[in-house]
Amino acid sequence: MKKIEFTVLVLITFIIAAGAQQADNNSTCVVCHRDQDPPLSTPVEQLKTSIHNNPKLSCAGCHGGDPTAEDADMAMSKAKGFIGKPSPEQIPKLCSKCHSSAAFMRTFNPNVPVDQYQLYLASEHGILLKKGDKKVATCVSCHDVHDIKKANDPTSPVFPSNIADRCGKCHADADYMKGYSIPTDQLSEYKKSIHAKTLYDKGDLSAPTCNDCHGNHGAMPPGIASVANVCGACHLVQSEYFSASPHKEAFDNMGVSECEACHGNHAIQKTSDQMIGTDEQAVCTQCHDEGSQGYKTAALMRDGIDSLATEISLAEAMISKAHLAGVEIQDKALNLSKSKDALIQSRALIHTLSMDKVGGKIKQGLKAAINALEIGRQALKEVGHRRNMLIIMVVLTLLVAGFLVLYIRVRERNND
Amino acid sequence: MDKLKKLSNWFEVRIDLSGVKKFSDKKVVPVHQQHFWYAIGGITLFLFITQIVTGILLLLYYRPAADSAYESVQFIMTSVRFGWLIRSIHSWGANLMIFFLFVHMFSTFFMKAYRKPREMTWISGAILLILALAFGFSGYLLPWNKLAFFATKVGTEMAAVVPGVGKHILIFLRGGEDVTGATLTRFFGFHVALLPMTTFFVLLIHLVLIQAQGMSVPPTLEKEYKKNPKTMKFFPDFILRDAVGWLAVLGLLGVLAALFPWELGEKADRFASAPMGIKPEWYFVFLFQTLKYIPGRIFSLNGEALAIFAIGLGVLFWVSVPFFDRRAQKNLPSKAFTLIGIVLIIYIIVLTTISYFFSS
Repeated sequence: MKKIEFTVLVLITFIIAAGAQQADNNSTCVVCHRDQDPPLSTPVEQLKTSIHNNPKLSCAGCHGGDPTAEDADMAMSKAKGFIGKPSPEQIPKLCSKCHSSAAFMRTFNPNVPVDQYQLYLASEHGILLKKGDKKVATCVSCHDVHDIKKANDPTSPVFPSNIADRCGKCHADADYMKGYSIPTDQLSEYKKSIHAKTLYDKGDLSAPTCNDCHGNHGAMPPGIASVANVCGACHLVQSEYFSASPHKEAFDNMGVSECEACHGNHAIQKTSDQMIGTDEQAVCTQCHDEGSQGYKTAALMRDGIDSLATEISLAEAMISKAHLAGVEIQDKALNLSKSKDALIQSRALIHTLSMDKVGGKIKQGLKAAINALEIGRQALKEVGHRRNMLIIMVVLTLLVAGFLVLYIRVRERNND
Repeated sequence: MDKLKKLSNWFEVRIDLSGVKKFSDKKVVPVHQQHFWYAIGGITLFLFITQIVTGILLLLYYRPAADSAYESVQFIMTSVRFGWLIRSIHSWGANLMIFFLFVHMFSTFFMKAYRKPREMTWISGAILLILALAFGFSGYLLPWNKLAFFATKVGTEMAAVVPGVGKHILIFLRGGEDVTGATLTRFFGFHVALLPMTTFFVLLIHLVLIQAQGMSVPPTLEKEYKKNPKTMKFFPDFILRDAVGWLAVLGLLGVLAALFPWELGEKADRFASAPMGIKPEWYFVFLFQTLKYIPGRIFSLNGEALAIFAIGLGVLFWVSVPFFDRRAQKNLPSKAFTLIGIVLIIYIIVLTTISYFFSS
C-alpha cells in the first residue's frame, strides 16, 4: 500500500515539475526568440541563470503582450499591451509592479524588502529621471536586464566586491558624466582607500563600498551635516566622541564636513599616530596655529600616544626575546594586551579632544605596559637562571662520568 | 662494608639469589672492533626509563580534556617548579629514544644479529619500534596545540584509505568522525595505559632473550673472535661502560631541554584553518613525503591506499627479515640485505631532507 502511495506521489511531483517547465519553454516568446540570432535570442539564454527564471514569471510581465498566442503578431500586439523594450522612465515602475507588492514578494521570500521603488523616487537618480533625464541609472543599470542575480551571488554586479565597478561604469566615465558637474575620480580614489583594501585584499565583505555610505536604491551624496552619521554607522565610538566634542559645533559653524575634514572621503587611508600632533603630516595644524590651545593639546596628545606606543614595543620585544629563549609566559603576558587595548582606546578618545580623558587612558596603558616589561625582565632573568642550572648539571654529570671512566681504568689495570 | 655484607646475607637467607649471582658472574660480553654498538640498546633503554619517570611526573598535573589539556601543559611549563624541564626532557627524550631505536635497529641489522637463534629478539625489537612510534603519535596530540591537532587529523585520515575497514579504524582512533576531545582522551588512554603495558611485556621478552642468548658477534668478525675470544664481564664491566653512555645522554638531554625548551605553540582550534606546511613528527616525515609523490589513481585503484598497503608489506618484510635472509642464517655474506639496509637509510635521509628543506 505504502509503495503505491509513494509511486503516486512521485508521479504527481513529476507531472507538476514537467508542467511548470513546459509552461516556460512553450511560451510563444521563448519558442520564437530562442531560434533567432543574437541579440534577439540573448534574453532566452540569459534568463536561464536569472533569478527571474521561474514559472510564476513570464516575459509578458515586463514586456506586455500575450505569451500564449501562437501567432507572433498577436503575441506582440499593442492591443494585448505589448510595449517592447521599456524606456528608462518605464523601468522603475515596471519593476515595482512586483517588487513593491508585499503580498506577491512574500510568495518568494517573506523577508525581501519592498521599499526599493519609494527609495528610488527619493534618490538623486529618481529625482533626475522624473525631471526627464534619461541618462540616469534605473534598476537595470545596476542589476542588469535579463540576467538578474541575487545580491548575495558573487557573480551579481551588486555583490559587495562588484558594486564599486558597477557604479563606476557611469560615475568614472568622464564623457558620460559631462554636464553633471561632479567629479569622476571617485572609483580610482576609492580603490586606493583602506576600505577597498579591506574589501578586495582581505576579502572582508563587511568593508564599506559605495552603497554603504551613499545608500543603494535611495542613493544620494551625504550632506555635510550627515557625514558623521554615515561614518558613525560603523565607527560608532569615534562618532559618539566627536559629536560630544567642541569640534562638532565648530565644524558645523564653519560648514566643514565632519569626519571628512581630517580623514578624507573616497580615498580614506588607514589612520596613523602621525595624523595627530604638530608635525607636517598632522591634520590638527590645518586649523590650529602655533601657540594656540588646540595646537598645544594636539602636541600633548601625540607625546602621550608616542610614549605609550614606545613602552608597548619595548615590552613586546622583551617578552618575545624571553619567548624565543623558551620561557612560556603567554598567560602572564595579559598586561601587554591590556596596554595595547588602552592604546587603541586612547586613539579613539582623541575624538573627544579632552586631554583628561586621553591622558587617563594613556596612564592606564603605561601602567600595564610597565608591568608587562617587568614580566619580560623576570622571564629573561629566568632564562639566565636556567642556563646556570644547566652548567651545574652538565658539570656534575661530567664529573660522575669522569669518575666512572677512572674506575673502569682502575678495574682494567687490576684485571690485567 | 660489613654492613653491606650483612644486608646481603639477610636477603640471601630469605631469598635464594645464588642462581642470579651465578648468572651475573658467568655472563660475559664479546669484545671486538664493533662492540661499541652494543651500548646503543642500553642507551635506548635508559631513555625509555627517563620517559617513564618524566611521564609519571607530568601525569600529576596533566588533564586529558579538550578544554583543559593545553592549559594544564601551560601550567606545568609556567607555574610548576621545574615543570618546563620535565616537559622538555620528556619531549626531547622521546625524540632521542626513537632516534637511538633506529640506530640500534640498523646496527643490529648490519651486524646480522637477527641470525639463528636470535630471530625472536629481532621481531620483539621491531615490535618495540612500532610501539615507540605509536607512543610518539599518541603523545604528540596530548598538549592539544594547533600543530598537533592538524597533524593528528592528517595522520588518522590515512587509516581511512584502507579498503573495507578504513572507516572503522578511523572512528576507532578518533573516537568519532572527527578529531575532538574524545580523540584526546582516547590517545591519552593509549599513551599512558595500553602502550606502556604492551611495551612492558614485549620489552621484558626482548631483554630476557638478550640475557639468555648473549650478544651476537657479527659474521665478519666471528672467525677471528672464535680464534681469539676476548670478553668482558657483563656485571660490572659492561654495565659501567653503559653507565658512561647513559650519563652522556643525560647531559645531552639537559643541554637540549635548557637551550631549546620544547615549545607549546597555540591552542588547538578545530574551526581554525590548518597552518601552512603542516608536517608529522620527523620520524614519520619520509613516509609522509613518499605519499606526496603517489598519484591519486594507479591502474584505476586508489593510489594512497595502494601506497599504504605497500608500506605495510614493507614493514612486514622488515620484521620478517630473519626468515628471508637465508645466506646470513648459514653464516654466509648476504650483501643483498646489507644493500637493502643502505638503500633504506639513504631513502629515509633523502626524503626527510627534501621534506624539510625543498618541499612546500
